[in-house]
Amino acid sequence: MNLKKDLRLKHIVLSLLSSVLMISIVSMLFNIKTDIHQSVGELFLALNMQTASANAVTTVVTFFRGIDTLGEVTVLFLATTGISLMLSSSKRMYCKIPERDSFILRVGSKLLLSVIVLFGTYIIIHGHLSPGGGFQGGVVIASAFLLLFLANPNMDLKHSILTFGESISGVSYVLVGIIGLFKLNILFGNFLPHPIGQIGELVSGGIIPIIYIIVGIKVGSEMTVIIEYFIKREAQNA
Amino acid sequence: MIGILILFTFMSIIIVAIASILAKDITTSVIFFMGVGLGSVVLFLLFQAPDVALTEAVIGTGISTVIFLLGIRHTTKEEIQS
Repeated sequence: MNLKKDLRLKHIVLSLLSSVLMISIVSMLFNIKTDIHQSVGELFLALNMQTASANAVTTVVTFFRGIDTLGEVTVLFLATTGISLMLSSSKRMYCKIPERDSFILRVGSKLLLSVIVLFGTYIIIHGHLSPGGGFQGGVVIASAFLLLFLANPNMDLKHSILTFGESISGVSYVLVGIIGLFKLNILFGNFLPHPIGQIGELVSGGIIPIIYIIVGIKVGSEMTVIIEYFIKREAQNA
Repeated sequence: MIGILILFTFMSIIIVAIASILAKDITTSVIFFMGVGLGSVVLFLLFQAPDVALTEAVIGTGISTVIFLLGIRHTTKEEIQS
């Protein structure tokens, strides 16, 4: 009886609290001034003309919100570390997929691999001109490695090269930001020359293509490591 | 015309999401979930956000489905052995 009363009191208090929260959130939503002419997008588009990057989204991601992108890269690095802690082992890893010799997969992977890697590289390098960038291109390159793993499951990747590329790109990403901080007093400041006349050319936009190439290497190697850990498991004691 | 296309895409996303929830087999559910990502790619393209559409196509439709399927394969095999 006593317990029932307690539970009821708790429920009433909880529902009161949640209704107060709901009312405050709804009132906050109604108080937002929806003036389109004061939106932040116009400001970004006006500022984008100074950076000489044809893709305004790229400028926002790498320049105005550079520290956010650094945080995203850190989150991906931590996720890779957690997955490798969970799934890796000191024994030799092998693949659980039964080796059915699929002719179409073997030949098709050889044909498609170079095309997929080329497309990923194109997305990375043209990040400041067309839609795309380091994250998307890196994942496209990792999916090429996924195809390679599906075609020959017991392939061994050189982990030293992947780890080296990942750590070098991470360190150089932070270094680019710190050089901008010292030269222009802005973290991820655009310290390379970026004349507005060059807008739309392959070499333009200052540090934006450099940052995207670094992010592409980092994301590509990290996603490849994640896919390899998911495909392979440690040898069973049969 | 574009309004009708957007409405159709919204409807198909909702239908595929409900099918993903109601599916009995977990692999079927993941494939339907991939359909949700595919619909949102079309939606982002119609709303003129090609950057987000490319990200969704690569990560939401490609890599996440593969990782879900690999995880399902690992867990079900361990359940059968034990």
